[in-house]
Amino acid sequence: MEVTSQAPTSLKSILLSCPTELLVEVVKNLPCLDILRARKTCKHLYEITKSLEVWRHVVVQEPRQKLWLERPVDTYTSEELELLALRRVSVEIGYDNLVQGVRPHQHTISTIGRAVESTKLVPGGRWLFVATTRGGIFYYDLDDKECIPHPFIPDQSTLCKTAMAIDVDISSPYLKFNFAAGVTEQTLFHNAKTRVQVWEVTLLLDDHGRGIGLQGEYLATIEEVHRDGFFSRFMLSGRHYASIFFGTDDSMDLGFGPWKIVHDGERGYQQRIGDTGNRALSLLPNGRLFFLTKSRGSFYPPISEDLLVISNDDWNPIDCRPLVGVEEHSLSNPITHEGSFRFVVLARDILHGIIIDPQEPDLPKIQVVPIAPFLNVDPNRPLLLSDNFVLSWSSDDGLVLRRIMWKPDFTSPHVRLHPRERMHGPSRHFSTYHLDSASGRVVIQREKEILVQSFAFLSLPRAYKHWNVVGKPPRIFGKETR
Amino acid sequence: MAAPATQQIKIRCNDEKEFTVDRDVLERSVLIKNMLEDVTEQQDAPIPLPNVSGPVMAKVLEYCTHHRGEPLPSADTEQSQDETRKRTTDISEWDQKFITVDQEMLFEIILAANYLDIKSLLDVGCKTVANMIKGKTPEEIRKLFNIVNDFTPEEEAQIKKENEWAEDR
Repeated sequence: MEVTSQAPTSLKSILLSCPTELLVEVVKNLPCLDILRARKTCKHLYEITKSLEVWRHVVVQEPRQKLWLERPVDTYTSEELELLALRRVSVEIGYDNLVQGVRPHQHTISTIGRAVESTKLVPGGRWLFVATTRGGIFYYDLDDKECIPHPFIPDQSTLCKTAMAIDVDISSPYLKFNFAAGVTEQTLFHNAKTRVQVWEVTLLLDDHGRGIGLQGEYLATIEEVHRDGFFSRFMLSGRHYASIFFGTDDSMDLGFGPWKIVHDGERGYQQRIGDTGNRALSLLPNGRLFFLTKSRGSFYPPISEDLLVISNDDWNPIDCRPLVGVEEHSLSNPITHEGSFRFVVLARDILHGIIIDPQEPDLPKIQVVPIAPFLNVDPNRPLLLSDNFVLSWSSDDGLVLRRIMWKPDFTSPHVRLHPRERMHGPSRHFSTYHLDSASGRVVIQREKEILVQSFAFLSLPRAYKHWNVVGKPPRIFGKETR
Repeated sequence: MAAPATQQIKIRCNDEKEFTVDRDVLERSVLIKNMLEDVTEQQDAPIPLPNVSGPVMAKVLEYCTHHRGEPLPSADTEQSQDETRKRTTDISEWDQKFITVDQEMLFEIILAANYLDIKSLLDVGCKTVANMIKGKTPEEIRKLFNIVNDFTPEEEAQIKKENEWAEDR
């Protein structure tokens, strides 16, 4: 190391005379856009701002759910990491552009002539599952420009209604999730038959260790229902599931319970609860079922596996603080942030943010902050939350995207709400929709096509066309169950 | 419980300036800590520190004295992801005041912290430089740090094109 006590000459930069490893330390502490600006100053800083160490640091500092890396950070090149981080920045800028009137990039994807029943987007925005009206399921790689359907489950002989659920194992270094499909076969001469099957889905890797596809391994059949109807919602979280089953006789069943991996034709557990008249419910990652009643938010504790059937009398929810005194609510999906759960509730045109502190799981603190009016949001349509974006559907405005700011200490949501952006007009000709904030994608399923809107203007090009499938990721998963 | 008598250690900087410091203060420096662990007997000869000057060492010792007794970061340079994530770009109020020095002294403190292996001080220094860069245009950064633009016009145009979307943000 040089002796540094001499006064620097006016021609020499003291910054640039620092050893490279110290410059890397400095650049690591810069936000993404400042790294890009430092890059433009000179050749030496250009090289440093391209280094793997800098971008690894930037990426691991973000909460994992913000970028949704699908493999361990050390398997990415610096270019890949830079693009991932910058794409997330371009999501925020892209949203600002939307608000200023720039239309999102939009394309439709082909379903090769098959009628689409429902869709499900895997967090991270890359993989899209599509169920056909024949009960078949295929998936798309939205990062792939050609975006062709890959088969997952073949079509059945009968018409089917399918509800899908995805539960990502965030402890796994490679993308891994449980995928459930509740398929109702609609037969003319018999009662409809509904069964829920669960698969464990992992990435297929190429010989460079990059994810190029998905594969499923059958885990369990949760339940069979011999009644006419269909699942309006199906949720999966760790070893628990929750469902709302609408009977054609206008009944509504809430299903909630643990499930287990079965072998040799055994069934997973089933647990049913009668009609609670309640649609605003959310299955939390800790196995609790959070729901809203007229006056309060409540929990059902996780159900013990020895309990096979529970009656409505045994079904004792834990009440938490009074919430909002209205009949109709929409409750979003929960998101996990550093162990706490967040979701948003819409009640009487007001959006509320709720954060559940993991430190006191038995005494959940629900912090409610009214944010801003959302008008005429349809409580029967999903309210979707992804990081700091909310997607809702209202009869007046159609599909509306809004950004909410959460306070940095995550104790409560920030009251700031950004202008709404209409993603889709108030037409009823679409059924499911999805939002992913890591990729800036909104996926809208219409009758005969699937519309993919991107408000991030950077994309992750899948440049590797000719790949060899090598197989599954190494089994270094943290936990099998949560 | 009586505290054990604090051992005093002598160090000598490259400008012959000598300091006599409490051992626990000096042990904020992993370099000196390791040196002291290797020596079993009491030594009277000062430890030579050929890469640090007296005025810089005085600043470094001011920092070490203020932070004495705080737990040292673990020897592992590879922190777990969770720990890394919790590191913020915030600098404590005292550290901020401490590091408000001219640019030359700032970089000398950083180099000394790197040489003496005082991770927390190195961190404060690097974050301070990062804060100086934040929000500035490339031209402003060049001016602040005396950087000569050594790109050819073609290279400059190419770089500008690479991330055009990020301009004026």
